[in-house]
This record gives sequence, C-alpha cells and structure tokens, in this order.
Amino acid sequence: MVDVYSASKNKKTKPKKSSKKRSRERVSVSKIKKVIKPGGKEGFLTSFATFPKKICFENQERGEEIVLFLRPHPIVNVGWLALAIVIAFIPAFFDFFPPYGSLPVNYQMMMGLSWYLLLLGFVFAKFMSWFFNIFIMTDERVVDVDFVNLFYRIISEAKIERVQDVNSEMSGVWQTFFNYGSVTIQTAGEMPQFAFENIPNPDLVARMINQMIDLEEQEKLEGRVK
Amino acid sequence: MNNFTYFLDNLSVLSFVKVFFIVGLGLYAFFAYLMLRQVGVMSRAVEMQDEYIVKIIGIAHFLLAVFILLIALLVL
Repeated sequence: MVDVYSASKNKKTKPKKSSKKRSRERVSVSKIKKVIKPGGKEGFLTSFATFPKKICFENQERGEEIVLFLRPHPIVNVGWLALAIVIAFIPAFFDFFPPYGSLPVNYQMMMGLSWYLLLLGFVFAKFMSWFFNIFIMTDERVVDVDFVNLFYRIISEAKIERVQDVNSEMSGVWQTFFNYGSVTIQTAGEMPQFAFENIPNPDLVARMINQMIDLEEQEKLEGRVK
Repeated sequence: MNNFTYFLDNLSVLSFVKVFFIVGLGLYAFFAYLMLRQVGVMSRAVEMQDEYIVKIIGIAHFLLAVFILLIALLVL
C-alpha cells in the first residue's frame, strides 16, 4: 500500500521537473530570438530560414529548437540545369550519326526513351544532392547533413559549446553578386572542421553562430548549461 | 554443337543491341529503386515541409524506369 502511494507521488513530481526543464529551454530560445532576428522563408525550396516550424531532424531532442536552416544557394544549380537542357536537345542530332539511321524504328524509339530516362535520373540525382545538403543550427548544436552522392552521405554534429572558431568566405564575381559563400567552423569535437559551402548570406550566418556561442558562454557562466 | 553454330550464325548486331538495352535498363531500374530508398532514408533523417514532392518524383522515376524496361522487353 505504501509502495503504491510512493509511486503515485513520484508520478506527480516528474512532470514538474520536466516542465521546469522545458521552461528553462524556452528561456534560452527566447533569448536567442531576441538576438537573432527572424529571416528567410520557410518553403519547399528554401535555402535560408530562421526558426522554421515545419522542419525537424532525426536526433532532435525534446524542446530543442532549430534556429537556422540552410541549404546551398539555388544559383549553384544553374550549371547542371544548363547541362541538362543541352543533353535534352542531343537526340535531335541522332540522325546525323549513320549507325542510328540504320537501326529499326523500334530501336530508335527505345534509344530516345532511354536517353530521356537517363536525363531524368541525372536531374533527380543532382536535385537530391542539393535538396539534402543541409546545415541546421539548433539552440544546442550544429548539424551538417552532406549528401555527397547516392551512395555516400555524412551526418555530423557538434555542440555549440565545442565550437572554437568561425570563418566566412566569399570569393569570385558570382558569389559576391548573389551573396553566397562558405562558412567554416572549427570544433574541439570528433569532427574538427565543418564546412558549409555555397550557403546564402555567409557573413550573417557566421555572425549568428558567433552570437549563439556568446549566448552559450553566458548560459555557462549563469550555470544554465543545456 | 550444330545448334550452337546455328545460334552463332543468326546472331546479329541487333541482338547485341537488344541485350545491351535490356541489361542496361534492368540495371537502371535497380538504380532507380536505390534512389527511392535513399530519398526515404534522407526524409527520415531530416523531415521537411512538402518533402512528399521529392518522394513522388522518386516513385515516378522508379515506375518510369520499370515501364521503359517492360516496353523494351515487348518491343525489341
């Protein structure tokens, strides 16, 4: 009987602890919101968004909020899109190749269909490597999702308190004109360096990360780690 | 042995092209399936707004690859 009583007592006290923790986390997030102004649009093809509501990741902890969501600037897709357009017009010149003309009609048709299927595959693979190349910064850590190719992807993360140095770089006419570049983060963790390439507003992103580091250090001093 | 020489006599360039098409498209259908799997894995890693569009494109790409493989088997 005593055990039952103590168990129910424990049940009542637990939510209080978690609500305290959650409210503490909310305080840290609200502090971040004061420092980092909302910007960017949260959409299907967005490459820069602060405090996105409809994005979450696999190892996201309860109460952990995404502060910054980044993808490479959409302009980086221009190269492969132009190549895809050129490839799409190549079948128009098939007739100039004598072996093609000697093939029966059904073989010619299959060649055209296969060509456009391969083109679709190329476009889809390139789109995927852009779409799933993501950088996420939460109120606790930085997460880098690198979709190198179809058979190779890396998901690495580091706590903000472990970030030591942040550099932003913008070089060349295109990067200056379209305001995109790379941000490199040096950490004391297992992954010594995070490089986010071709991301929009690199200076702003570097500034945001620095502000997050400052807030984290301030929280440490105040004794509110996590 | 006679059957084999008969087979070799009837073997034309078109037969090679046909085998090339069917094997190539079969491998491509497998590749399209792997792409579809990868989309699923990535979608689980990062859940985003309207990502079902990418899933639909992946499914359409895989179905198209299978459809073209079937056409090749029927037409060639």
